[in-house]
Amino acid sequence: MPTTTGQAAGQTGFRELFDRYYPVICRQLTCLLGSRAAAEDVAQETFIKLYQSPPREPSNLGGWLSRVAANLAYNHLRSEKSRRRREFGAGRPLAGREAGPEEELLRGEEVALTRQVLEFLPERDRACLLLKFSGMNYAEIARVAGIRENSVGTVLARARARFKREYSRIKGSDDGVLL
Amino acid sequence: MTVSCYDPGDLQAYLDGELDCGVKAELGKHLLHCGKCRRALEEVRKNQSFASTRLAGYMQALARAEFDTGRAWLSFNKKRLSAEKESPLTKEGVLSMLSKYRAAATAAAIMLALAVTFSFGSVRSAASDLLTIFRVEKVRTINLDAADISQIERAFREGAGEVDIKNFGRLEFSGGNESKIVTPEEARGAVDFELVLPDALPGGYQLREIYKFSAGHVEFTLDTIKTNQVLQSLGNGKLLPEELNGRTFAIDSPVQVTAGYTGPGNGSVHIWQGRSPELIAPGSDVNAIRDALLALPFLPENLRAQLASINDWERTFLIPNVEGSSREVNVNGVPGVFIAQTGGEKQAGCLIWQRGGVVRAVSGPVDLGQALQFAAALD
Repeated sequence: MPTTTGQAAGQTGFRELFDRYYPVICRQLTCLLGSRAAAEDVAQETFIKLYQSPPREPSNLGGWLSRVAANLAYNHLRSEKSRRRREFGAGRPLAGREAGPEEELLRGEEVALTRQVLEFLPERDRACLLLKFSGMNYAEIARVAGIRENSVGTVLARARARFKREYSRIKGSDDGVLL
Repeated sequence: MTVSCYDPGDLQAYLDGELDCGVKAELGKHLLHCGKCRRALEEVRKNQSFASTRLAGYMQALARAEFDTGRAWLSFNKKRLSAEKESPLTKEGVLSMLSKYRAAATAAAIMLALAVTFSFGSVRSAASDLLTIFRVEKVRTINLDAADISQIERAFREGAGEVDIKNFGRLEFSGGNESKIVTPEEARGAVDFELVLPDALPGGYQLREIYKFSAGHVEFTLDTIKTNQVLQSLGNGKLLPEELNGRTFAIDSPVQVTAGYTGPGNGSVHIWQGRSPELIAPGSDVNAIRDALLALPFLPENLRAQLASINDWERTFLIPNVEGSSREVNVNGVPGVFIAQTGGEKQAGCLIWQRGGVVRAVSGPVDLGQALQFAAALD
């Protein structure tokens, strides 16, 4: 009896799960991807995954969604590399792109500069930096980014050094003017 | 110093607390003597704090605005439909997951489901092949706390990884689980009771869409040999009698209708209505199953006592009350249960009650007071 009644409740309940977890997952993905628009895209993919192949053990749904989102986010970071090449040319900052709602949120010199530097970094550096910032440990970063666990420290140290160098360079060269 | 110097990657891992104890101690010792590595460490630390500060400001700016869940849901549904065309859902899909999630989200739910499904305390006098039909006549809560749940979970983890319905027998589904959007007229025509479908609910909620879920039938054929193996591995002294082997239990769930309402701030409320599911069981010996389940050694004593005290098993739908999340309430004069959901960002709840053989439920971002208002608008 609980099976059938539970099932019926479940059929109505997906919308509720969506309402509860979508903002949580979006926030996590924003940290992973460094972009709201990308975060919302990947959040959609995450819920499609949940819909199509849910976990066998549903007791920690939040944790499951979070792991799936992280994996999809990394795929996204990888595919975004080629997209960025096409759109902007390798490593070129976002200058000239039309300001969308996301850019509206990114007024402020420091925030705008950070975005430019993130765009500039090599894809693996950028991914590791964001993954680490989102709170993952080395083992998780290694798994998601597909590198050896004992190279994570090296990649991170280099990425952070580059970040600082590029940030200072761009700030010096155009005095932080973005658009 | 004879030990060679460390590279920035090691120093970074040292700062991040990611080195093995031995290496960490060695590096710490080395730093005491090596000015070059100390300076390198300082550089790594500065870079780290520089990048983290900027990233934190950036993420804060990005996450400042709310995410539009309502719009995201619409776009999710479009994607879902096209994904379903490519690969139709299986029985193992989200619905079965959700039903498990809903039932209690803990291993306790598995246990309770079995206990309820197989426990028919008051019907055992009838002849052996007589079939008995049960309907839900009331909903009740069973109190559990975190310690109870972890006790049960531990037993399942350590005692038997095989606590899976497949190891108790054979489960067959027919019909059911098909949902489609219907008009109010179609929904009314599909059920044999009076469907209540107001265009609006208190608080500015407007009817958005109506789903019909087709009737379903589930048969469960008990395999006592496998079940007893599991019971034994869980340390049970009491086993199921062999003559129960191959007995079939069935659950019929009639057509159900769900109405979705959208309200302020894109909040959504769902009203679920359906005839009570029916349990069809061989009328004898089933108390042997109940006794065996109640003898499970890992059952917390307070749970065992609560389960044993329910004398109207066959007509009671049990809802686990985990840490006060559920409580029995009065819904327009009949007993019901309100389940408060926690864990998400917003408050959410579900109210279930039964009247005249029809089970109704309201769920959404509501507290008990609002849920009762909706219930009053329906009854």
